[in-house]
Amino acid sequence: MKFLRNALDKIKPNFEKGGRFEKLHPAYDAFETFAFVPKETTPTKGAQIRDAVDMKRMMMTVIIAMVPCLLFGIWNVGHQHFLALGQAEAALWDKLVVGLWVTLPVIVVSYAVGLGIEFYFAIRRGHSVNEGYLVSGMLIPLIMPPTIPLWQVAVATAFAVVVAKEVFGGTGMNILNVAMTARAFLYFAYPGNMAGATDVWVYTGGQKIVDGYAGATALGIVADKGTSNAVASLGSFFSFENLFIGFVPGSIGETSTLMCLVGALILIATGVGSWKIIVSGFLGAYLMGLLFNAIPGGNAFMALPAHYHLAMGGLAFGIVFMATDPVSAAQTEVGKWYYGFLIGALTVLIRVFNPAYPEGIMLAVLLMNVLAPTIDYFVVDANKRRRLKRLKLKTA
Amino acid sequence: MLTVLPEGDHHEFLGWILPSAKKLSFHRAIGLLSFLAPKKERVLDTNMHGEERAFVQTGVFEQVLPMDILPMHLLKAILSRDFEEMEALGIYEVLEEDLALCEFIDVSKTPVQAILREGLEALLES
Repeated sequence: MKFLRNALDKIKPNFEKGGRFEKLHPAYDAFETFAFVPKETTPTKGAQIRDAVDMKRMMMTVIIAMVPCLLFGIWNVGHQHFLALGQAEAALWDKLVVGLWVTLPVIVVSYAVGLGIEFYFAIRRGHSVNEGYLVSGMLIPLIMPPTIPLWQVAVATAFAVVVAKEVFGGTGMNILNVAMTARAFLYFAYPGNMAGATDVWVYTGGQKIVDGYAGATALGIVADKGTSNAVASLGSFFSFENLFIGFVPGSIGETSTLMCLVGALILIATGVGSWKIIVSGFLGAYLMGLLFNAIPGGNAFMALPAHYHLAMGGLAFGIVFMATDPVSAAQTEVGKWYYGFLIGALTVLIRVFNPAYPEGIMLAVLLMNVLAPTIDYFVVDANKRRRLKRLKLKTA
Repeated sequence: MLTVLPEGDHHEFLGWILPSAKKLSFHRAIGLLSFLAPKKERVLDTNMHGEERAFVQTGVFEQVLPMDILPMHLLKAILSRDFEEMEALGIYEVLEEDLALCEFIDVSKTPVQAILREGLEALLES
């Protein structure tokens, strides 16, 4: 790697103070630190040794945790495509090719637009390019329907990065989760491409869908069925097993609860994602589901067995990958329990009582992002009061 | 006691992602394998192992601080020069060395001790 190092050292003076491309230093820096960890040593005062961890490794851990969802999502996009065309016996290879054909452009657009804006702001402000977008850039494609027009991905990404993140000062300062903001933007700006209609959730490539293939999501079906038996109207295609493993239409990466749980295991084992948020999130959704089950009468959604809520829609994906975003989540350990629990509970509440939009996780996460500082306020306040109490005991 | 550390002024190719059991870490993020052999002796150098970033990870400072203090909130209060908040969050209970472990384990490579000193000095002058 001597060659690469030498090449970087050779062009480095151009990007340093007084160099020809001085202003582009953050861009150079981003590439250099991607190839090599800098040789900076600890300052003369303070801790003389530092932990081997850094932000790049932490963010990369999250991306690796998303890989199972991504791979399954690519396959499932192809799988649903061939199911819709009545060719269920299509080869694995064919399904992957279709999946990649649909998914790759969305990923490329998300990263190109998002990173482009990140680089622009870094250069404008003269600070280094933060790694946060590496995660957001992968999350955004995974929560888009497979049929999403690429220009909408670009517009939503630009909106989310600028309005949800950069206006607040960049990575670490944002109030709302960036990827969820992108999805919310599209949901309210272009609802026709984000919900409802049959042709949203399955990539058909312009071909005709065979009879008997619904193409809707489980959430959509239950919301439409009024007061009839929810499990019966879901039928065998949306059996609990299929919902759990993810053999159903939906956004690219969120259909498989199983793969989300694999991701959750990686996040928890590496300590990068808060297990408290993940556990309390699922618990909140399950208990809320049970509560509605206990109320007699009501709509189909209220009577839906509680464990279905955990496997349907984007709940698992949202709790595992969105709610655990440390910047927009509650930042105190006690607060994380309340934060996660309320996300789960609110998701089910929105699903059950909002006929216009059966998927609740998006709004639940964004709402709790806004409320997280309030939760933290009470936890921090309790800490302050314990301190005052100790002080009084001593002086008394 | 005198401790001598090797100077860590070397670039490390893809050092931010290659797995390693040699580098000591409090964390278990992908590729950081030192937790598998916590008692093994390691040679530590003075390399920063990363660049300074905004606060992102939460909940780890508390694990290496025995006092009932919220270090990140305290540091943010200092950075915003909120004197009442600093006092309420317990700045008088700590000196730099108390937070040295926070500085060591920090993912964002925040100069924790220098910030705390700034806060204490600012309080003296206020």
